Amino acid sequence: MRRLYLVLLLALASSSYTALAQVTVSGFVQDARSGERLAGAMVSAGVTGTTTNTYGFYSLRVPSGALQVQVRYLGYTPLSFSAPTLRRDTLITLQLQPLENELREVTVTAEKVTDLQQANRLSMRSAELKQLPRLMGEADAVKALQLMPGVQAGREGSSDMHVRGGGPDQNLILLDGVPVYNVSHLLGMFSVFNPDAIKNVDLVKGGFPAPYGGRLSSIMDVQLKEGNNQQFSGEGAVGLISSKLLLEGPIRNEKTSYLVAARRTYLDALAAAAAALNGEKMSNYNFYDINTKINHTFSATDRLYLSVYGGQDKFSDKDEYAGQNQQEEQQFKMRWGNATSALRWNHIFGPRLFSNLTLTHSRYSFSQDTESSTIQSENKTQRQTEYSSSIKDWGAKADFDFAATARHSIRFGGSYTYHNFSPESTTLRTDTLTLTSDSFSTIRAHEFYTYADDRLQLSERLQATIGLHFSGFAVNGAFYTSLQPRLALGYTSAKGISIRASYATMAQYLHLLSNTSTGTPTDIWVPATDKVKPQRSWQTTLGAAASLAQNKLELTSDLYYKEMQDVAEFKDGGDFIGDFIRSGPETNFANFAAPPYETRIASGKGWSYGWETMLRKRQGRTTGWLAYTLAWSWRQLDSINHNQKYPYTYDSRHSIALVANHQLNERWSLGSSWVYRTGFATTLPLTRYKALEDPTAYRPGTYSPTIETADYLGERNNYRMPSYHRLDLSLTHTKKKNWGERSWNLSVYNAYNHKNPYYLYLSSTGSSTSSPRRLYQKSLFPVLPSVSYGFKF
Amino acid sequence: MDSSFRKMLTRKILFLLYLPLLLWSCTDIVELELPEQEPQLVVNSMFTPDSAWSVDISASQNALSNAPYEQVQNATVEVYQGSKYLFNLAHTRNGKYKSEEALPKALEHYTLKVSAPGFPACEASNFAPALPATRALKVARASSSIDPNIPEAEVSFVLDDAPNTQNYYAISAYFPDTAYTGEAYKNYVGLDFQAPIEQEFTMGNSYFFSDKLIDGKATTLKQRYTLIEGKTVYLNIAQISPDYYHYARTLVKQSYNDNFMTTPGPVHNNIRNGLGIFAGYNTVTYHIKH
Repeated sequence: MRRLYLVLLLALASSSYTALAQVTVSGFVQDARSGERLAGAMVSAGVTGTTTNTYGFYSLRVPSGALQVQVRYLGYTPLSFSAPTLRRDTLITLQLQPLENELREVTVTAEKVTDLQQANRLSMRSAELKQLPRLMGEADAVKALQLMPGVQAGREGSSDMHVRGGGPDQNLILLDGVPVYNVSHLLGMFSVFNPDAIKNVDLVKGGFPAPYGGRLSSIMDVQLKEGNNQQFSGEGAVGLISSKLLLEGPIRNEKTSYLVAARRTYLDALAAAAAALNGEKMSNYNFYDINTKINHTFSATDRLYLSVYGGQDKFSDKDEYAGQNQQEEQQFKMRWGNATSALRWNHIFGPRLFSNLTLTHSRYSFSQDTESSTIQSENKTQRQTEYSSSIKDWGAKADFDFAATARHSIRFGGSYTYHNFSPESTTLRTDTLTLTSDSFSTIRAHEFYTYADDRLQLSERLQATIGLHFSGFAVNGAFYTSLQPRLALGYTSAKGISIRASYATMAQYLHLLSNTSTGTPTDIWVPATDKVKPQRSWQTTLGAAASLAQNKLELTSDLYYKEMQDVAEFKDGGDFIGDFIRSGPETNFANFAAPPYETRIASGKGWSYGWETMLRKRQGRTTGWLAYTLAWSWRQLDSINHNQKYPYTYDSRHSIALVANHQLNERWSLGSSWVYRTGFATTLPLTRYKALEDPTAYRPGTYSPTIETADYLGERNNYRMPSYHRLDLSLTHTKKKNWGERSWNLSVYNAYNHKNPYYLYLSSTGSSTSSPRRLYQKSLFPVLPSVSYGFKF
Repeated sequence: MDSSFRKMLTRKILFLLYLPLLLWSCTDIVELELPEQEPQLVVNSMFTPDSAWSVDISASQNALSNAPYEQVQNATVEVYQGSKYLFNLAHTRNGKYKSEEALPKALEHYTLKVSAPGFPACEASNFAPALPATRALKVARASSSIDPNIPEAEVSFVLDDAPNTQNYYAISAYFPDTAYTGEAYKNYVGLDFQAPIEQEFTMGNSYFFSDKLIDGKATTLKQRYTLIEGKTVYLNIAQISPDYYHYARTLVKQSYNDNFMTTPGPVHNNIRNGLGIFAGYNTVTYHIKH
């Protein structure tokens, strides 16, 4: 039986015979081949339906008696299962068979787009993101989400996300439920998520369900595969600058499985080869990341997972100089990376109550080490500077799903996180001196939340989710709390059009301080303190969704309005790195060059509003989406722009993304994406004027560098960069082999070589009229072809 | 931290930030127009109790223009002490306006009102601080830490910083010279700040610092410079107004911002309805004979 597959039926006499003629059917939905549990699968029985939770668990209250269960999940053959007459609560594990041939037009939607739970949510499976054209041969989850409505990428190539006008720090990025603080490899060209190890990516950008909190603008939930518990398998790829390998399989029996995925770039090897060829020393850069996961099923009701991630970027450089009387050597090292781990225990207390207990650890660290030595007249002097910044979290959380009645589904839980911030630590060592400065001393903070929500099926057409999220943060004697109501209401018309509205408030107790306008490892995470308030926001949305063309197409359209309070930025002219470099060894760096961050930042409010719409096709020979966003985003911060409002740097009025993938036949497939957006806002001087003459600069007969001109900047972000647009293409050839499958992917990034603005700058002022001052545009990526070889077994 | 070390650090960090650019970037000249701005009066004036008033008035221009600045020669420049009108400054040459004999007084607040046809009128207020309280000047011979054969002078003095106010200082040193063209000029010497503090920034040949680390304390400051035998070095220790300090700091920062990813910062401006700086200072000068 190719289409429908039912492998396991396990009935537990877990509850007494029900006299109310209602029974609970619960269990897991999983992949028949790998045993992967499937989140977001639709399970229905008659008029009652639900979707599996993050862990693939479902629970349905149904009338006792004969039962017809339907299960649908994108990329899998729909399952229709006739259960025998049920007279008691029953646990059923449902196994779905992956579609052998996705060329068939099958009208299966993964998560029903008209369901209220799908409002303000973007979902992507691993297979979908791998269909997209690749930058340097590497598929990327963050880059894929940047093509979605309401999500602005930062500067070209970056892994920043600006969701509905929010900042990059306002996204809670979870890897198997653990926060990741910096998701960038190679300054954002790649994210830290190995696409082979990913099972699903969800991005929630509004109408936040009660379990979510801690950030203002979005929750990006990256779920990794669990590991194939049926058979040993693997996949990998060799690209232009990196390669990767994933292995997974059962241990002894199908109760235990593992997954190991590793990726490494070989830019350092390429640089070494280039250095050997041209005889010059070159800088050294590499990154790697490793995901490991192991899980064990103790019983039908208990499963334990251990998930560990580690990744690091390293950059180093060395200069040597040998003169007649002097030798110098300078070494520079910079490294940054994340490490996360999660120990998760799924337990089913009964057919109606599912629990997940997770212990988490997350660490992000950045360090920089500079050593110089000088030998002069047989005297050797040495100097070493170390700088580091880190954030470490330890946490525990418990989540419960309770199927109260056929119409009520209740979630509740709580979390506690212990934060340890070391925003900046500097040590200077010379032959005679050691200075250590913790300009921001280590800050310990305690964060917690508790939540509950009720998903109500008020009638056949009317759904609601009513929830509360309560959070608190204790730091330096200050204690902040936030009570956050979460409301969502959805009505589905007889024609299948869903109208939904939501309201949510959020609080964020962390700030990301950056002296740059794009994410770099030098950005530092700092907590709210007694002097710097937490960020808070509220957002309301109104939207509609419908399935069209016999459910082949999904159409969504949403209006949103969001207000953010106490967002923080460095004050004008803040230059974190520059301050550090300019500070002297004899200077008390803590008190002088880098006073407490509370005194260096400006706080204020932001607000954004807009309209997003997307037409999406997720299955069949041709898949893809067309997305359009019309948006405004503003900021108003004390002491910036004369306290007047100004457009957010990544404010972009119009954004369009057209993504199309087409399976030509069993071997060949084409992929393409075209993006257009209004240029970002930037600050350019509009006026120049004469600077004060420096009386100490004059020296006849010599050139004395003097400042003759000052630029008047006017309003912040007073200029629009030219529009950005880009076409990416890919062609994939896949061939079955006796050992598995291999594929070649040819991708072309920026296919028509459009020179998109990375940043604009004015040339220096000069006194000669023969070299007029010009406005320049720096572009990053020209047309970039890449090829990668992939294999699966 | 010596300057070469700083430069090296800067270079390395920026290299990493620029890595993607180095790999793939290209630069294009884009023909973009900046919106035209109405010109404003630019007023630049530093005043001190030992010099007559002097004000330079020019006009601002489009940021892309490379034309010489237009000096405004028909302005009316009025000086007020508080709200009391004192006198007008006379135009002397090419946008320079000066008083004949009147000298500013320390700690008095002055207002400058400037108007000229075709420009919005503007004004600014400021004061010259008190003389910096310095004492116990000592000069000693030393030798360079880099090359013991190079003689240096180590100058130390005690600076009594006034408590409970934010004070700002600038130090420079020169000796009169005619070596280059025969024309007399001030040959400024480079100063090497010794413990306990360094300069925060330099502009031209002036070294600026604030009292953040020495607030209200009597502090012995030391500077070294290369000894010039037979010359008299003039050591200028100026207490400067906060506006001048912030203007110089932000002007230097804007001019030498080498991090493209940093949002450019504005230059401090205390001219209402105009641009520039109107600020006072007060200088103690020591003559050091070598």
